[in-house]
Amino acid sequence: MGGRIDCYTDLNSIYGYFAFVHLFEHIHVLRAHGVDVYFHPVYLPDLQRRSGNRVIWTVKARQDWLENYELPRSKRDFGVAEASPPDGDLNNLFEVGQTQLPLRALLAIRKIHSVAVYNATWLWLYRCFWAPPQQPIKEEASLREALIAMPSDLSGDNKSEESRQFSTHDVKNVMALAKEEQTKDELRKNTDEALRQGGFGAPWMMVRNLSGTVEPFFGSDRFAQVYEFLGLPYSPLKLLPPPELVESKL
Amino acid sequence: MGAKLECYLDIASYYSYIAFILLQQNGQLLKQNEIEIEIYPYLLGAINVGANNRPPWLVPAKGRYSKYDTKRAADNVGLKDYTIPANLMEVGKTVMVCIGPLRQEATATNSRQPMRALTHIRSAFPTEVYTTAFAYMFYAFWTLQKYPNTASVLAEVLSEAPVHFHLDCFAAASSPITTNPPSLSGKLFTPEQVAQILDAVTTEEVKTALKARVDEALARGAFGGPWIWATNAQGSSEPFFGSDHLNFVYEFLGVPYQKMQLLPPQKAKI
Repeated sequence: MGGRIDCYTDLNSIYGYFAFVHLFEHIHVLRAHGVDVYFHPVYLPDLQRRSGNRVIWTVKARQDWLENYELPRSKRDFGVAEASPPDGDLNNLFEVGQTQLPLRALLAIRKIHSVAVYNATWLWLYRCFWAPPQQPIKEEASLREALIAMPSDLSGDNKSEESRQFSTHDVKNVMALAKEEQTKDELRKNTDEALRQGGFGAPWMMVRNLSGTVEPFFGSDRFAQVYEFLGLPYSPLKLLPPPELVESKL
Repeated sequence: MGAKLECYLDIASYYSYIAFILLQQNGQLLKQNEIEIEIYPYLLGAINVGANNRPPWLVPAKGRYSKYDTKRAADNVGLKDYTIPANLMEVGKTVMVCIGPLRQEATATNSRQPMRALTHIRSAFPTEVYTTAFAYMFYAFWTLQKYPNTASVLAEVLSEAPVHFHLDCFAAASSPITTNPPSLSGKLFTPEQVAQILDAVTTEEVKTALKARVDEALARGAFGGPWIWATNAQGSSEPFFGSDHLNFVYEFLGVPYQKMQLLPPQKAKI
């Protein structure tokens, strides 16, 4: 039995986006270590409400710090410096962050298509939501358009029309399944599962190491601890001596 | 003006302790990179009040999760034998303690007395004595479970502090721990000095100085702890919050550093 990372996340969470980008970029090296990564959609507003967690922007000093310093630093760190909520206003998330339909579409894609396509669709929808020029994905019509526009190759910022991931027919099937009661149930069950495991926000990760022990990890800035727990080789953050000093020793 | 890290720490803040240990571990390298370090005692409780950071809700799920996060933070810096006061709520009266960047739990242990004492020690004693006193206060709070919120406990902690107190985890990970640990028999303060510090704690001068420090942190955007105000070589300054984003601090300071990196499996050697 290998290690595994079960990541519960929502498209409307920028920290979920950061964690997704990190895990997606490392998915092959993790696999090489025998660690599988699974992404599970949860509806974050539901998870927060039901765990008694509230949005923390009510403290002005904290919000100032988040918007002016913390978020820009994290965006640069994860290589998505341009990411911003639609219209640049975090408060819009209450409105545009109603992501139930795209999350259900992801669940449908997981059933119909390969895991690789499912993971790629996560990345595409995160980009639609956060990367300028943002594309709406909340309503059915716009979500269809976004899925049809998805390129089969997501490397780089490719939004070319040359090769599409999904045919019109594919999207029709995905949307039909997305709207079925069983898919709605499945999304609810994911949120239940995250709650049962102690989750209160996104990204929420349940990590199982080689000895079969499972521990929760919260946030996009805990990957060193995740790797430590998994027993994987990593080089920790390291301050280095100034170059002059290194040279003078040579 | 040179580059500088000004760190606002409170002994009642767990992640302030983690930050303090990280500063000890990286002190030499920061110095080599010409970064000056200033450690200021401040009052996290007053910061929480001043920034209106008193969320009326307590999230039980966050409480359950924090035991993992505190343990991992300790493991990461090599801190052993610490205890999160279980009864922070009951023990204290007026001060809030922040034990998580995203989690403010009402508590507890009033750190006004020890923070005033450190305010005085910082101005009246050499830097090494001040740093050692701060280290021992952290140790007393988090390991010995002595909460110096009364004159008698404060006196006890100040009197027993060893002159060369340090923990193994203060040493840089890259440099071996000194083979001959300095004698721990001597005391940091003489009985006269302890008496003098206890007197100073009650003076307007010290109270005002600590209050000014709290106000300065608030003016610099603080809403929690540890709060770090970094100034780079170009003279521009930015705030940093928490003990877990030193990569952002290094990036801002423009000092050379290596990011955390997952390594590939080692190929079998041929």
